[in-house]
Amino acid sequence: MDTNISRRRILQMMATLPGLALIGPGCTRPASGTDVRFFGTGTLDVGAKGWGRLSDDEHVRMMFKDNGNDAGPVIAQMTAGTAAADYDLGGLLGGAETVLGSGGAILPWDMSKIPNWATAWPWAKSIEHTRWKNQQFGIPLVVNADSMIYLPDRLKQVPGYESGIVDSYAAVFDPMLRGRTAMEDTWTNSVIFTAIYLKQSGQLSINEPGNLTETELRGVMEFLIDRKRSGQFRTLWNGWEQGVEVLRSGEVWVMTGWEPIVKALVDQGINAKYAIPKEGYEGWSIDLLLHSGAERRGLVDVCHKVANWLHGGAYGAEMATSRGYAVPNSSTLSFAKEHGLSDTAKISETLGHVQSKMSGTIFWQNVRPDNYRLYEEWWSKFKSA
Amino acid sequence: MSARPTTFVVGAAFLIIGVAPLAAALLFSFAPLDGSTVGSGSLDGYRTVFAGGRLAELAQVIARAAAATAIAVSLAIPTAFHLRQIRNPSIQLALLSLLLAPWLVSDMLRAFGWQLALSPAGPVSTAWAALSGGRPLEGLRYNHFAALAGLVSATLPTAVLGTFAALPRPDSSEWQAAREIGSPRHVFALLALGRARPGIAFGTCMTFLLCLFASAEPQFLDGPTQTSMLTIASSLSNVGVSALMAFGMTMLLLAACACFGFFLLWRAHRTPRGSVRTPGAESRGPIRRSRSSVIGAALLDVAAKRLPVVFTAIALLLCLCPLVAVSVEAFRQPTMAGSVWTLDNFQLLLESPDLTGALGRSAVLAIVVAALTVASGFVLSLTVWEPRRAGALLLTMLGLVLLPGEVYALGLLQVAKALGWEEGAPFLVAIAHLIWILPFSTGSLMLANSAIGRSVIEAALELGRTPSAVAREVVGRINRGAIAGSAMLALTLSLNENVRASYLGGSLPSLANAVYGRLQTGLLPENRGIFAVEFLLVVGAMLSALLMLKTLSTASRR
Repeated sequence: MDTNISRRRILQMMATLPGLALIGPGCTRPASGTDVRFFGTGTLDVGAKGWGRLSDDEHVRMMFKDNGNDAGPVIAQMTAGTAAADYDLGGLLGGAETVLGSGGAILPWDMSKIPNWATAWPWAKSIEHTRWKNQQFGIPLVVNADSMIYLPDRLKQVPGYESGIVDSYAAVFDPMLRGRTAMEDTWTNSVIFTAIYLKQSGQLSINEPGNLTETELRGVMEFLIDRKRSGQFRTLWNGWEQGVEVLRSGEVWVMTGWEPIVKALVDQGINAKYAIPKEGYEGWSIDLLLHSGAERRGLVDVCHKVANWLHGGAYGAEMATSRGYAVPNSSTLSFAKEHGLSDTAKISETLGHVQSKMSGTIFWQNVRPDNYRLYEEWWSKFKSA
Repeated sequence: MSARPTTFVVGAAFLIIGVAPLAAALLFSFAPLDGSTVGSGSLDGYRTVFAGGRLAELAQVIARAAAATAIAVSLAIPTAFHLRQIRNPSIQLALLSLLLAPWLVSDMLRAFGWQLALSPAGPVSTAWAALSGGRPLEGLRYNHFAALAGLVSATLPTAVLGTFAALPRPDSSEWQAAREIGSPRHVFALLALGRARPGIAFGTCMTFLLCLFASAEPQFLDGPTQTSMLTIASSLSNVGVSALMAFGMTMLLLAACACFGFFLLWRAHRTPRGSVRTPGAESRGPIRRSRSSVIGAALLDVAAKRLPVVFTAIALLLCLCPLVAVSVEAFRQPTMAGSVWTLDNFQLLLESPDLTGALGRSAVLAIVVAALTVASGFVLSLTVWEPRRAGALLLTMLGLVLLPGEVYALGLLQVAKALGWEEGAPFLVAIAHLIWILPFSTGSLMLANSAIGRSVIEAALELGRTPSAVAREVVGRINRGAIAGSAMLALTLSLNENVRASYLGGSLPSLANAVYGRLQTGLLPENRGIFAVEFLLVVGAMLSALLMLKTLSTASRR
């Protein structure tokens, strides 16, 4: 290898190489408009088409990055890492506002700069965990009420389920369905579902399923560990693709899960239903957060403009059409009607469906219950059981 | 040569960027759980690590990694033995490229591919149903065995390459000599289990480390116990950053204890000086043998001849199975009427600026990391002729590899913040990837360098060549293949790494972030573009690998 380039020169060149990654494809900035960096749960992403509308309306280019949806690592990245500074907006399951607000990672919203907030549904405005010290730190962006997905055709073969209808969480824990049920691999959903079932069936005295005391948590987790050891759960599903796959293959017949999974299964020609549980739903919200990074970059006003747009109807219409989720406001349907969207009926149905679920019994999910550290300990016992 | 300033500079730089975040992590591990006063001497973080079922989880992860490593290495030794003996370089290159292919695909998609392959409607179940005339199999996935299969498949290339690199070339006189000395089983014992021992040891260590930190396989393939280092770290990060840091420190402590234990065992059982047994001494037994031992020996000879071929086929099957499943997905769109075969996924990819942007950025970063890693690894591997220095270096590197990605990333961010850098950036990802991949690269290059006798280096130096010229023109030239393999390893590991890229990369997602996010949240049609990305990546990288290996082979023949 004869060369005139010295080793020192090669090392110097190599040291400058990481800079190339900065000018890699996709990093180029548009000629006009402002870049806003959004660190959110993947559910909030409406893709290039959806964000294109924001760019047209507000001259803001949304740079979306999936935060993985797991509250723990997101909070760690926000408080001990640089995520609070790296991004302008965040979108996380409700409940983390206090810890992030008290740590200075997020800033309170100035609601006077978000006129579309006036169109938000009243119950969405009153969600407790979105506020800290009387200030609004989280704006509910997407809300829904979750229950169970089931396969009626399979269940009809099982004694007790001949009707092919599931209306109780008891099915998930029913020994008749041993090895044919599943729950999500996260305590934020699975513990509250179990708590709702145990509370409503009178098996355990529970005050608030989304915020269990030490004793209540012990009771719930011992029940879950007992069921796991008996082989009740086929698996703990994790993420969208696996959620769809376990039901599509027929390995799982009933599981607690996200409503859009039903839509995906039906689109693939599978008879799947979403249960209307007599015990009530698990309500959740993904809240919009204002990162401290927005202040550093002088983008606080732009972020308020974006928040206003997100509640202006266009985003809600896209969300209802593509994912079947509701942005909790009345502007979504107004927007669909005003613009004569072809999916107006579908949007109306989605919003009405969410409203009707919310009018029933709802227990709100909370990613930061008072005993969250104990939740983590018990969940690790459950996983290793 | 290891005393040269360049080696010291690279070693010192490695120590600073490696050890400084470690020190920050150590400091944080003694903070209260709310992180209010760093270094206050609080043991809350450590208490949390040992609370709940976390130790049981850790034991499960270690047991699973050990089992997967044992299977992978058992498959890898005969496979490498067979591949090394193939005299046709084109066939050898093609088989090696196929075996390396799983590394080119994101670990998430590889595991996802296994999930599809083992589904009741997948190829394994369908083939079984066709052959047996029975119903499709349902219990193939969501159990420990499926997770093990996924892990073995994912780490086989490491185990095979370690052994392969330590075996002599097919035209080497060592093969001829071994064949003349004894039967096929003796050739296997002498070369695969004897000569390749350092390679097996290296491959075993690397395979175990990769299995230890694998999270995609348990997540997609295990039953209701999908615990992994990632899930443990995520849980602890939710409790408090000090608990996460304490976990990292506990891992290091466990590793140090294990190393010390191995050292004591080695001391207790090492062969005393003066009683060294010559190779093959055990084969020169009494001339008269029983009939059963003769039959046994004949069977062993047949096994030594035939089994490596069978094992190679199994290894190839295991490596290619998930790739085929993912590649098929690149051309499939699920619809109401079943699957439709289409090129739409490629169109979706082209129309997704996020996906193409992530691919471009990650590819550039991976090339940079590969270049830096190979350059640094090559310099550091020159310490191989100074065993004590090499040992110390490898142990330090091992310590850094054993730190969970989240712990190193947060430690590095504390150092960056202390230096006034407040945001994530690609150069931080490059540093983290470099520190993580460097041990793999340096180890494999040390292994290759160890085949060059010290006398060769001394002779070259005595002939008046400068040390850098000897490193470049002798060591570099002889080990060109190993250098290329090491670059390939660095490139693929960097391209598919998710945790460090997620913590350190700032607001621009990497390819691994994009794949992970889209598999997790689904629904947008453009998400199926990830299968097209991976398919193109596999095809492109396979062609490049073949081209590169072919060029190297031609150069080495010259």
